[in-house]
Amino acid sequence: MAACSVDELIGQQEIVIKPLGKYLSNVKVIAGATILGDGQVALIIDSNNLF
Amino acid sequence: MSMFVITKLGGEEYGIEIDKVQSIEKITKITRVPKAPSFVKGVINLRGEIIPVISIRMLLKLEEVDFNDDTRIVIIKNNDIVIGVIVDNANEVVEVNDGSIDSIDVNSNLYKKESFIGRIGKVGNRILMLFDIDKLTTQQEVKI
Repeated sequence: MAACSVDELIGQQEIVIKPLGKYLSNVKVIAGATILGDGQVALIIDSNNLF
Repeated sequence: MSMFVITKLGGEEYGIEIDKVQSIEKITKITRVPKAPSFVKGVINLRGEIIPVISIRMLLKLEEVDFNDDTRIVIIKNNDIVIGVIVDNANEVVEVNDGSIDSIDVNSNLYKKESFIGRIGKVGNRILMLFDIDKLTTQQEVKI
């Protein structure tokens, strides 16, 4: 078990994960991304790959 | 005859095969991706799709410049890989005679394996450097 220190906690939301695509398949810590209601991109951390 | 989208980087003109170009977009907010190679500026939201965006200036070892109103992201699709390439300007399409396109001699000292320029085209007295799209879209395998 481990803890993550972050700058700020914004909230929680149900999202659909979109892949980053083949081009960035070497980036293991990021599982994908999602597009928030305002069009902004949010990255998804792959917590399994943090360890 | 082949058609190329002309992009500008500094004073030089670079061509991208038009059938590999999906669209040309204005610069938008780029979300940085940690652990990605440094030339990957991040990802953008292109009408609901997540597209990685790369700095071609960094790949070609040119100095980086600030974005302005002319800065464009050229969306390139090669097989199933889609990436965006940041260029200073992209506002022209030209036809180049196949006879006016020279490949770069792989034995010459100028040729480098990591070069992204595959061929050189001539239109009138203009010189167009033509990107090697296959190399550009498989770059993630190369360790930087």
